[in-house]
Amino acid sequence: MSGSNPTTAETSLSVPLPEPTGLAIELRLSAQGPVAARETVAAGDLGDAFAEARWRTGACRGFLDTPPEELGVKVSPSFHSDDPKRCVGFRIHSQDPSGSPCSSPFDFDCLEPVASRMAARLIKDGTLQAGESYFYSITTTNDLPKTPDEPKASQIQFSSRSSGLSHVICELAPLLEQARSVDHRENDPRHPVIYTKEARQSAERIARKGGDVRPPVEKGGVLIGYFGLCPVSRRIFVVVTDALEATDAAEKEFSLSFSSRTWARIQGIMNARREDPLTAAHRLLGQFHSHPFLPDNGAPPCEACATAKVCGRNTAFLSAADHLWCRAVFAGQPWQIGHVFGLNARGDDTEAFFGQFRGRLRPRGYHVISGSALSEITMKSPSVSLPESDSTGGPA
Amino acid sequence: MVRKNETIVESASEGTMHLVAGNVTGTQTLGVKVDRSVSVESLARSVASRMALPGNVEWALRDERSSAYLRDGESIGTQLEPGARVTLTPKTHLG
Repeated sequence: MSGSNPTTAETSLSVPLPEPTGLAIELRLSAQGPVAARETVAAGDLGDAFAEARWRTGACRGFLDTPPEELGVKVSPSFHSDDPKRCVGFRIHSQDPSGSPCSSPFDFDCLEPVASRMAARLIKDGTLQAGESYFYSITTTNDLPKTPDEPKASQIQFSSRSSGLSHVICELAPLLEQARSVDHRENDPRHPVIYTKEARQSAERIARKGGDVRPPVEKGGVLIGYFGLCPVSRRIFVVVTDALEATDAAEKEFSLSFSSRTWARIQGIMNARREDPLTAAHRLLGQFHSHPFLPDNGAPPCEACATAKVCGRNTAFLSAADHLWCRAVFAGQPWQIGHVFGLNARGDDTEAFFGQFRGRLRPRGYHVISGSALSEITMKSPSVSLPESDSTGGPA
Repeated sequence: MVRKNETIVESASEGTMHLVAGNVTGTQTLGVKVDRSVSVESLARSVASRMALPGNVEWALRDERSSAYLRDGESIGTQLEPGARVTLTPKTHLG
């Protein structure tokens, strides 16, 4: 195998996160109403944003061998161009291993989990009713965030290792030439996602099986693949090679819960893949699942339905529960993807594909290529780069 | 410690033990040295915090050997052997 091995560094502490962040969220019960709650944004609330900034600074510039945690980050608020006092988001500044700076912009909607947490407290104390709308905005602050309660430091001690990202070295241009684009925009600044036709078909087939039972149930699983690094352009890309069904999961009409057996099977398969030199760089990339129900509780199609080319009402979206699950499972993994298979108001199949952008999962496109074409191109110069394994079982 | 028929029996809830904790995607692995008396719930929360995982999610620990979830309210020492590997799993669902 050729290619450099990503470095592995012992770190009892990673590069410290900026604390305080200088940001706070203000929550109102009406758009112009008084502030009902205010909370300082902690470094932990920006975990996904930091990871995305490091991804853009390191991996997306071809530096996959450097552990992302070793790239320092710094936060600064962003202000409205017409109103310098109005904070509208923030930027995360970093430097790649060559010293070149990178500044990543984020909108305040990626801090929705903080607002949601604040709203939950207001519901608990009766200030806000469950289901009632609220409004949140971002502002600057010098206050420190609250420290969460944790067991005494002496009771639990941690040690960790950080490492680079395993990847396959393969030219990107031949793959894109052979692939068909789906909802991809030419000016999309994000890394390309390449889906094998077989994995994409498998994901839809598994997901839509739930629609064959009455009442229909949500079905899904995880998407597996690897990072590719183009030796010519130094661009990183993601390749989805498999859709693995979530077996032994609790499948209900509006929810899909992975059990301990579901996770045990997935992890067993991933451990086996990492032992095989041909699939050692494989990792979990995201999830797919179905929303096998009609939009708006099955309300009939609108008046424009007969003439509209595309039906805009559909259930191919990420729900609040989906966002929370993805944030929990793929925390700090800005390459995460999601595929939802739903129905439109006409009852036709529809789908939506998502990737993280500016701290939140948002719609994005992808490219489809046959598995045989992928194998042919990648096997021309096979090269897998893996981080050194450690005594704790090795990173992904 | 209890002396019973000249055999010293160590309490399962005393002392410390070493574990390995990972997240479900395998991107993070931590070595953990923990008091045996710490509850599973507390350890799960601490590991989640150390891994910078969302704080508004409840977490379960799954023993990789048995594949079973550990019992939250009980101590680590009564449910795991030293050197055990556990996976931090979110108590959330897709929907």
